[in-house]
Amino acid sequence: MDVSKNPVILSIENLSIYYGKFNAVMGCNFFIREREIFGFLGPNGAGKSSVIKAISRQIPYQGKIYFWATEISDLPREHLNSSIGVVPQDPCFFKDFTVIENLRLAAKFHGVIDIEGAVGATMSQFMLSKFADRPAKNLSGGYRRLLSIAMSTIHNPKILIMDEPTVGLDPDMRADVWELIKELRDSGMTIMLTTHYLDEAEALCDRIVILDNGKVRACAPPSTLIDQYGGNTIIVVITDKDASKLSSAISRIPNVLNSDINGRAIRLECQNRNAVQIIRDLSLILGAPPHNIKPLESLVREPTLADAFKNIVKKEMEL
Amino acid sequence: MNFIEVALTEMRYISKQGFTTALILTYPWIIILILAEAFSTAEFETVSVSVFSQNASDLEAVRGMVTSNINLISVNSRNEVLSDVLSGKSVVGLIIRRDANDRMVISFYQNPLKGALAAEIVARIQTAFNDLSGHYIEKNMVGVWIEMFNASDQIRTDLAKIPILKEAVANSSRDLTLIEQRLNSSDILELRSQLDLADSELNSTSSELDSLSVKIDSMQQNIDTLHSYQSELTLFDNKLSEAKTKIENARAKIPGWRSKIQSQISSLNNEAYLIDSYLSNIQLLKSQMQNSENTAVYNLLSQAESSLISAKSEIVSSRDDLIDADNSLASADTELAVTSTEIDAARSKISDTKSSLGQVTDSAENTLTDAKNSIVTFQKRIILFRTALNATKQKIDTFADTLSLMKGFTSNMRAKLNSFSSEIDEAEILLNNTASIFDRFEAKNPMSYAPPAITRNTVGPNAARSIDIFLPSIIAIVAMLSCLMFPMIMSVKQRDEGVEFRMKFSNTSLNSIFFGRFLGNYIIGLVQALIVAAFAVFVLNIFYHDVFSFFVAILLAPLAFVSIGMFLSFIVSRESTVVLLTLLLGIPMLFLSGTLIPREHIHGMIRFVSDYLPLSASSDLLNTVTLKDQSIEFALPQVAILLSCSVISLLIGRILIERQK
Repeated sequence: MDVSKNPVILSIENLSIYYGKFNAVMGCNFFIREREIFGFLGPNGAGKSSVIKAISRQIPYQGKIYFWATEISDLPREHLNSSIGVVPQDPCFFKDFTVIENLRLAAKFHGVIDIEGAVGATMSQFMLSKFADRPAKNLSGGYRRLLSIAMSTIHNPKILIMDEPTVGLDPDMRADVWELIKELRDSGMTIMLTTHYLDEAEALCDRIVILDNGKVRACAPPSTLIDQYGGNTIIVVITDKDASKLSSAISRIPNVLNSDINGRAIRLECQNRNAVQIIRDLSLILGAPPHNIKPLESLVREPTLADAFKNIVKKEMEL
Repeated sequence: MNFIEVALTEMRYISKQGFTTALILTYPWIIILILAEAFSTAEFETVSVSVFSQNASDLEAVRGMVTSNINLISVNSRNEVLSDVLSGKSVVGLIIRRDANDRMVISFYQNPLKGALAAEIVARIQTAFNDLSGHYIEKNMVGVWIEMFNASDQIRTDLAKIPILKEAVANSSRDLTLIEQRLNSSDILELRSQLDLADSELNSTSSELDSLSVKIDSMQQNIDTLHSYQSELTLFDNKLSEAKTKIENARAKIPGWRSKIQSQISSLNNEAYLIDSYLSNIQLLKSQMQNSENTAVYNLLSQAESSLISAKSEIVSSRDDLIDADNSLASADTELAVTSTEIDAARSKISDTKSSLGQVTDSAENTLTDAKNSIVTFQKRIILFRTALNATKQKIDTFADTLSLMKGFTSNMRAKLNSFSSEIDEAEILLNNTASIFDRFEAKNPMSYAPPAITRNTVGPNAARSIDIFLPSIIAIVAMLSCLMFPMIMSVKQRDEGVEFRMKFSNTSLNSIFFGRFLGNYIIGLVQALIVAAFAVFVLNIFYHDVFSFFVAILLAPLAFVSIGMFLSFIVSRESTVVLLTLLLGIPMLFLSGTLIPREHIHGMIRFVSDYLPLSASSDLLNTVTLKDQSIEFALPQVAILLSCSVISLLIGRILIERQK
C-alpha cells in the first residue's frame, strides 16, 4: 500500500525531553502519515519510550507535537485519548477479570457507545472469542499480548502506538500479530511501531526512524535505509578448481567493489541489487576455456536493515 | 465511565484480589477475637510477688491480706527479692521488717517494665494494709471508746436540750406575763356600766326616731298639697291653651276680613273715580249747555252733578270707614299676636313651675320614704342590738367570774415556772461538768490514729472488662490499617498490572477515576468497619450512646484513612513500600493517639500534634459515643479533624493524579 501521498497525521518538531538535567531526547523531528506503519527504532536508552510518553502526554516536553494540525497540549485529554491508542510493552489488563470483562471495561473507559458490539467484534478480530470467560491471568503469553492490543484498539483510535508488541512471542504468534497490525492499518489506523526486531520493522514498516542517544539518526523507508547504510552485498562462490589465476579478470567484473580469491573460494563485494548480474558474469569467466572451472556452490548475502541499523548506530558512536 | 462505575470496578477489583483482600478483611476479626478472649475480664491473671520477712507471723499476716490472684513467694533474703523483681519473675517485691518500736515496716520494690500492673498490685497491698490496721484498732480499742463516746453523745444530746428547755420556760413565762397583764387590764365592771349606758342611749334614740317619724308624716301632707297645686296649674294651662287656640283662629280669619275690606275700598275708589269722570263730563256739558244756553239741560246736569257729588261723598265716607275698620283689624291682629306670645310665655312658666314642683315633690317624697324606711330598719336593729346587749351583759357577768378563777391559776403557774427554771439551771451545770470530762476521752479516739480507709472507684467509662476500654480504639486502629492499606495496595497492584495506565489513558475523567477509586475503597473500608462494629455491639455487647452518633463515628473513621490512603497511593510504588509506609504511619499513631498509653504521658510539641492525629480523633470519637456515653455533639472537634484530614488528603491526591497523568 502506497501511503507516501497520505496527509501527515502526527508531526514532531524539535522535540526535547528532560528528566531533571538529563536530556533524554534532543530536538527530534519526524512526521507520520495517515495509515502508515511507522517504525520507531533505536538501541536501548535511545529515547523511544520518552517520545511515546510525550506523544501520549504522560510527561512534559519541549518543542511541538502536532496531531493533524493541532498541538497535542491544546487538545482536550479525552479527545487525545480517544484518538490515540497505546499498547504498552507489558500487557495491561485486570489480571483477575475475564477476557470479556476486560474488553468491556476498556470499552467503558473509552466511552464506547455500543459496548457489546465493539467487544464482540474485537474478540473476533483478535481471536479471543474462545477465551471470553477465561480470567486474563490464565491466558498464554501470546493471547495476553493480543488482549492488551485489543483493549488498546477497542475504541478504534486514529493512531496506535505499539511498544514492542511481539517481544517474547513464538514465531507463529508473532506472525499472527504482524497480520493483525496489517489488518489494523488496512482498517484505517496509523501505527507507530517500536521494536527491536529489525526484520519485523523491515517487513511491516513503510518508513522507519532510527533514534540514538536522543537524536534522530535516520528516517526513511527500510529499503532506502538499507541502500544508504546497509553496506555491500557479499557473494561467495566455491569452485571445483583453484581460481586464483582468474583473479585479475574477476576483479574487473563491473560493479565488483572488492574481490578476494583464496584457492577454490571466491569472495566478492558489490553494491546492493547487482549480485545476480555479477554471478552471471563470474560464471562466464570461470567457464571460459581453457579454465573450465565450475562453480559448485554460491552464497549471496545482501545487506539487511540490521546492517543498516548497526552502521547507523556505529557511525554515530564513532562520531 | 462515571465515578460510580469506577467505584464498582474498584470494588470488584478488590474483591478479586483473593488472599490479599481476605487477609485485610479478616485480620480485624482475628485481632478482635484474640483481644476479646484475652481481655474479657477486668481482673488480671495470677501474678507472683516475692516476699522476704524477718518474722513468720508478719508474713502470714500479709498472706492473709492479699487477693487470691497474688501469689506470694517467700524468699530467704532481700537480694533474692530484688533479683526476682529485676528478672521479671515477680511483678513486685516486698521486704517486711520491724523498726525499733516494733512497728511493721514494708518496703515495696517494683519493676518499671511491669508498669501499671506493678503499681496496681502495690496499691492493692497498701489498701489491704490500711484496711487491716483500721480493723485491728477497731477490734481492740474502739469498743470501749465507742461506749464512752455514746455516753458522751447522750450527754451532748441532753445538753443540747437545755437551751431548748430554757427557751421553752422563758417563752412560757412571757406568755404567762402576757396573760396576767391581760387579766389585770380587763375592767369588766366598767364594761358592764358602759353597756347599761348604751342601753339607755338606745332607748332615747328609739324615742327620737318615733318623733321623727311623726314629722315625716306631717311633711307628707304638705307634699300632697303641693300635688293639688300642680293639678290646678295643669287646669290653668289647659285654659290658656284653649284661649290661644281661639286667638289663633281669630287671627286666621283677620287676613280674610282685611282682604274683603280692601277689595271694597278699591271698589269704592273706582266708583269715586268714575263719579269724578262723570262730574268732569257733566262740567263740560254744563259749559257747553251754558254756551248754548240750554238751561233746562243745564239744570238737569246741575242736579245730576249735585247727586253725583252727594254720592261721591257717601262713597268716600264709606271708604274711609272701611280703611278705619282695616286699620282696626290690623291693630287687633297685632294685639292678638302679642297676647298669644304672652300666653306661650305664661304656659312655659307654668310648665317650668310644674316640672320644678314635680321634681321637688318627687325628691321630697323619695327622701321622706327612704327616711321612714331607715327609721323602721333602725328601730328593728335597735331592738336586735338591745337583745344582744342584754345577752352580752349576761356573758360579761359569767366572764367576770371566770376571770377571777384564772387569776388564781396564773398565780400558781408563775410559782411552778420559777421553780422549774432553777432546776434546769442546776441540770445544765451538772451536764456541762460531765461533758467536759467526756471531752478529754473523746480527744483520744483510737480510730483517728488509724490509716485512712481507702475505697477505689472508677470515674468515667462504665467498663467492667478491659475489652470495653480497648474495643473502640481497636475499631479505629482496624479502620486505620485497613483503610490506609487498601487504596495503596490496590493502586500498586493496578499500576503493576498496567490498568492504572489504561484508566488514565482513556476517556474517563481524572475526577471519575480519582473519586471513583476513593468511593470503592471507602465502601469496602466502611463495610469492614460496620461488620466489626456490629460484631462489637451484638457479640461483645459494647455499649453505645445512640445509633446515629455511633453510625456517624463509624462512617468518619474509614473516611479519613481512605482519603489519606488515596493520597499516599500516588507516592508508593511497591507493595513493600505500602507495608513500610503503613508501619511508619501506623506505629507512631498507635503510641501517640492514646490508644496504648494515655496522651498525658506525651510531652512537648508531639503532645500538641498527638491531639490532631486522625487515629486520635477517630479513637476519641468512638470513645465518646461508646464509653463516655455521649452523643456526637460532644465530639465535634474530632469530627472536624477527621473531615479536615479527608478534605486535605483528597485535595492533595487529586492534584497528584493530575500531575501524574
